[in-house]
Amino acid sequence: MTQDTFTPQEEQQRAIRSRKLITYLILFAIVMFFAGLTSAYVVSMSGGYWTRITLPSAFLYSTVFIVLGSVTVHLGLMAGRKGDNKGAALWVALTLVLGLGFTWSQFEGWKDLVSKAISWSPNRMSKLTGTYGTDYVFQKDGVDLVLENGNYYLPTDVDGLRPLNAELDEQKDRTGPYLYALTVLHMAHLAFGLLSLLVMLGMALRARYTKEDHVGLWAGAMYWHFLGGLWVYLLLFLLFVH
Amino acid sequence: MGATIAHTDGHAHAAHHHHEESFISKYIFSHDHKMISKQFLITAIVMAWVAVIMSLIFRLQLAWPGEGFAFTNFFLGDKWAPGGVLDPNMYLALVTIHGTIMVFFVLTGGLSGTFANLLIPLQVGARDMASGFLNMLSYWFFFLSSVIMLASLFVEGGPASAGWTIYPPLSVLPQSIPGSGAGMTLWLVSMTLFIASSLIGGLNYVATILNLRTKGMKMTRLPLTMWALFITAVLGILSFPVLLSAALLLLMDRSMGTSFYLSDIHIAGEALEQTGGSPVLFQHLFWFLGHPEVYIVLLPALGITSEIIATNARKAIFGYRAMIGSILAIGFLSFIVWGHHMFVTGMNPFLGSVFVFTTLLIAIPSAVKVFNYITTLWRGNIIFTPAMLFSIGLVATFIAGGLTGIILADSALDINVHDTYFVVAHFHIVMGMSAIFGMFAGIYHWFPKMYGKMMNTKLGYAHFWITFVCAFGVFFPMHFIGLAGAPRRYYSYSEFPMFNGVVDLNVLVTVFAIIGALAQVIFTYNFFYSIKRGPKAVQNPWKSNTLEWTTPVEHIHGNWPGPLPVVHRWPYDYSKPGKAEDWVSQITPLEHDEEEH
Amino acid sequence: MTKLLILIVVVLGILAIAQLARVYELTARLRGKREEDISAADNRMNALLMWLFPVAYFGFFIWLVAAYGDKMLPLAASEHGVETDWLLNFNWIILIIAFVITNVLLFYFAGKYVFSKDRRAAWYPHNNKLELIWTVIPAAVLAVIIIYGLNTWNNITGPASPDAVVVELYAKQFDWTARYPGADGALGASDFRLINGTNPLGIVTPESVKLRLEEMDAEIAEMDSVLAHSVLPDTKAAELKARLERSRRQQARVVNLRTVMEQDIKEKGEASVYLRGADDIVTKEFHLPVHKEVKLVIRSRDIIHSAYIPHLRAQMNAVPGMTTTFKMVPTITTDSMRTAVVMDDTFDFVLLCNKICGASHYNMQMPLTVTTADEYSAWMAEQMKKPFQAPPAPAEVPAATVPADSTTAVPANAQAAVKTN
Repeated sequence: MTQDTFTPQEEQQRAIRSRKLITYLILFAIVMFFAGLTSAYVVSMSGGYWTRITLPSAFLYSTVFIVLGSVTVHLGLMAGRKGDNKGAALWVALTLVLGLGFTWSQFEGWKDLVSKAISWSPNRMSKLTGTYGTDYVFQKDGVDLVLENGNYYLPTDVDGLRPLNAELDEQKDRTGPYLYALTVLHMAHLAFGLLSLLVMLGMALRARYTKEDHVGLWAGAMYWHFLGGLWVYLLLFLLFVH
Repeated sequence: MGATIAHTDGHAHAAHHHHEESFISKYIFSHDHKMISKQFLITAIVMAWVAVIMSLIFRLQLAWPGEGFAFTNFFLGDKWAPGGVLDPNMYLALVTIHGTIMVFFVLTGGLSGTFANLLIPLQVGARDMASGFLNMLSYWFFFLSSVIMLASLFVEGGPASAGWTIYPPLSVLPQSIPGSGAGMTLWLVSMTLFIASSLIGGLNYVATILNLRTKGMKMTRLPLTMWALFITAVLGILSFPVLLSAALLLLMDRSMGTSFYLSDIHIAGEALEQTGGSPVLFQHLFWFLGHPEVYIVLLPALGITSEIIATNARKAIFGYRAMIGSILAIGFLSFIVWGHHMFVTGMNPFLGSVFVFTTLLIAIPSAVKVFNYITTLWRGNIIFTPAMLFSIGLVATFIAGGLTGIILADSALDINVHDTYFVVAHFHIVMGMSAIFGMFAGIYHWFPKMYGKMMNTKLGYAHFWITFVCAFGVFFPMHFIGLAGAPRRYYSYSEFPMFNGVVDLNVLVTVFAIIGALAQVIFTYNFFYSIKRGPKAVQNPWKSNTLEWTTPVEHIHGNWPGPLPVVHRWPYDYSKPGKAEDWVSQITPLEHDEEEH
Repeated sequence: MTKLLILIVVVLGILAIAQLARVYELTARLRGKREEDISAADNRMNALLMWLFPVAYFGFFIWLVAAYGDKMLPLAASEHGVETDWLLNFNWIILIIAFVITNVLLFYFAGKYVFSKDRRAAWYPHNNKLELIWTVIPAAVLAVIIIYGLNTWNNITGPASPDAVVVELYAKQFDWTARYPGADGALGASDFRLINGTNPLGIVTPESVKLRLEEMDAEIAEMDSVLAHSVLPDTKAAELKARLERSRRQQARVVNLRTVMEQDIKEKGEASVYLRGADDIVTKEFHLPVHKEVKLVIRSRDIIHSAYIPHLRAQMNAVPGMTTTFKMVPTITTDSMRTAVVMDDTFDFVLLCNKICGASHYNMQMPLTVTTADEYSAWMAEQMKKPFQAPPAPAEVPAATVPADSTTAVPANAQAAVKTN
């Protein structure tokens, strides 16, 4: 057979480039998915009653785990780039541990929410059990309500003429389901991340990564960075968009 | 993640195409793009027949409301059609599933799935898709979702019946319509798989077009089919995830008592507990996908047509760059026009005005495309293959349907025609007919490439002319029914004296629909017969310039037996002055001091 | 039997096509003709058809206009309707011109430039000037369409004047109810929690809340006593307990509503919206005065419906949990329509549902009577006298429990169980 149009090196380059592009495109699709969800959240919160929920502190630990994970997976990639499979395996394993830590902190966060009666299938706003003001705040048309002697008032209602308890008892908490939807769906994507870390670990232990071809490691690391970025986005979104 | 992408086919294909494959890896779980394209096509043909039969059943009901038909009873049985009289709930189920299957399974999965898979590697000069494994996955998700959609026809309560747009609360509450029970759940499961299939397919299409072009295949030398399929894939990647998010929230509303879309509802004698949600939120999310989806359906057909018109007019496509520009413009604009589906939902009038403006802007690139097609025909040397006929037919339906779009985009006019038969006429002509014509054109044109056989031309003529006449016979009168104020999705119009004047048009429409459906029997016969017994094809039957015709007739793994072809020119050098033949393949080097175009 | 017959016809049809195709193929093979070689005769035939087709196409169009033009919606009976009809006609002129020009060019060229061995196609890959022209011309035309259209849209969607006649249109599966403000000129509050057989719109007044609570008390007491005194199988008892729980929750919600109402009355006194409902007129008759601005307030009880009055060119969705409005000025009375416009004594304006809403979507209608101001006042006075009669409630039956309900046995128009009036 005559020489092909592309040299084997070029072929490999092209294959690697397209696998990288596919990875980016997957990330892009996931971004659109969460963009859809968060824009639904923004639309839902405008007007009517809304609960502003203080995020469980466990979610802040999650951030630490995932940011550290980003660092370790990057170190793993650096090792892989040099063809150092042992180093890669070590860092990937560490990332896996941090990933499990993230998972644990997520479950802690959900437990915390459940303990305040913020659940998947939403409760009436009056049924929430945390401390008003620190754990959650009710809003009407974007204005925080004031709690006085067990009654909720609009801040403009200085004389306390019109308690809103009866209306709050009618309203379902809509923030909780969004919180769960966003974090659980992120966690679902993270579960795939954990799986890919396992695969990467296996590959590294069998010394499959070379200086030239470590695109699997690259894609896994990229995905892990992405999950971190996505988490930070969701966290900032939930912290600042009420 | 790393694992799925790590699969590689590399460059070694050519070396081992003599390697015998098992039946399963060759025909079932094939990684070969040509086989996958055939799988998509056959699945789509089966799904299309299901949808066509559904349309015949409800067309019979609309033409002769309340009368019994053995045909109806034959397919639906005594439960849904006692005495052959269609049940009103089943009527709504049929229009819903007809729409879903046609829009998603035939014109998205069938059209893009078939031709993106077949043509992308062949026309850019690649051995296969970027990832054969993902490509196979894409088909099997599609297959599974088709099976589930068909299975939903048989559940208690019937399939989803809330319209293909599945607006809540109708789609959430089984109390409101029986189809919103198990049928709706299966619909959502099926669509989730479908979205996965489209996304996985789209990734591959984009990656292949961007990265696996052969030497010399600059972006500005790509056939217009490639440009169209490329933008289509990008639109899909951007819009389908949003539909998925909308569907997930809907699923939560259905099963977990959340109220993203529900509020203040009293139904079946009970005040529901959900408060604070908004049904309009779903519409925003849905149409953010839904409108680009229209172009996901249409663009591949326009791309296919560009290719076929140039080839068979033996003339360079007029305004190649303008054609690319208009595809890009349409793709971009399609994301900022979704609100025009919601003018009468009580949306902010100013927002409505913005959507009017952006929507009408789309008319400009569309007009450019039409004029360019017409100019390509002008002083051409036209060979009327069945593919060419369907392409010209596409231009005609694109004109007729596109123009009425201007009326619907005008919010003040939409008030009165919104959700009437006028809309049904509009989108069936501009989206349904144009896309299906593009699909037929593609099938006739690339059949020799797919199966190495020729389809029967005479049957193709009969198929085209009957279909073409019936397309207008069916959908043209619907404009008039709509302008008489008749709403869509009505089981019968006999309850309103005001529609008495136009009910006989419904009979006319149904007669044309039946004839049109019979014409599809001709096509189906021709298709399957030619696969088995058609005359053997030559390598380049249409004397076309593009790369796919430089591959051998018999399919081989890796497409080209020798090295990949090197491209030297754009694909539209038809009847170029100074050339002996009226075509010049893309692999022919430029002559000394020849200008590219 | 018929099934068999159909099957035979289909099979025979397919066989016939197959035979024809085979004969054709054999002759082609005999002549040594290849399938992809389109003969001059075939090309000529198709070229001819390309010229004949537009004749049939335009002919069909003209025939449709001639035969059905007068079956379209008659003269618009509202101020904005006249405006939008003008806009529509203006658009039609432009569109039909574009339609004819493009189609004539398309089919003319397709037929004219049919293949000939002796000729070559022109080499004409682009012409920037031409392309600029057909970008700019549509853009200019569209600019006119957009400006004219948006101008009309702004007039239609502007706020209604404060002295407009207010009518509430209330949608549910599968009928419409109208509500007019009584003597006080204002619609009272309404809430879905209060809806029952006698208060189908859930109008909130101290009286209606009290009645509803009493009714719920009675229900709960009855369930309690059944549970306490009868011996029930376990499943039945569990079912009843669940129902009791649900009723208690519903009752608590109505109590909440009462609290909100009482607070509002305390705060606003006579001006409270909760005191406005007692004199509201709830009716299955839909009357509007001519030449007066009308503000339709549109609500839904269950799912999305759409209030569509084709003759008045009016449409707005009815969305549960939301209130939408539409303002208009009717300009022709029903009588004038009958005698001067459509020449039909049985003519009625009609409000119909235009958003898929279930089995009887196709029959969800309410006639509309547009009368002179005097007649309207007289009708109004009469309405004020008679108390609202709740309609029997067959539509309350949940559709899901009767999947193929009565309609399966009795065809189409026997569906009248839910017919209005």
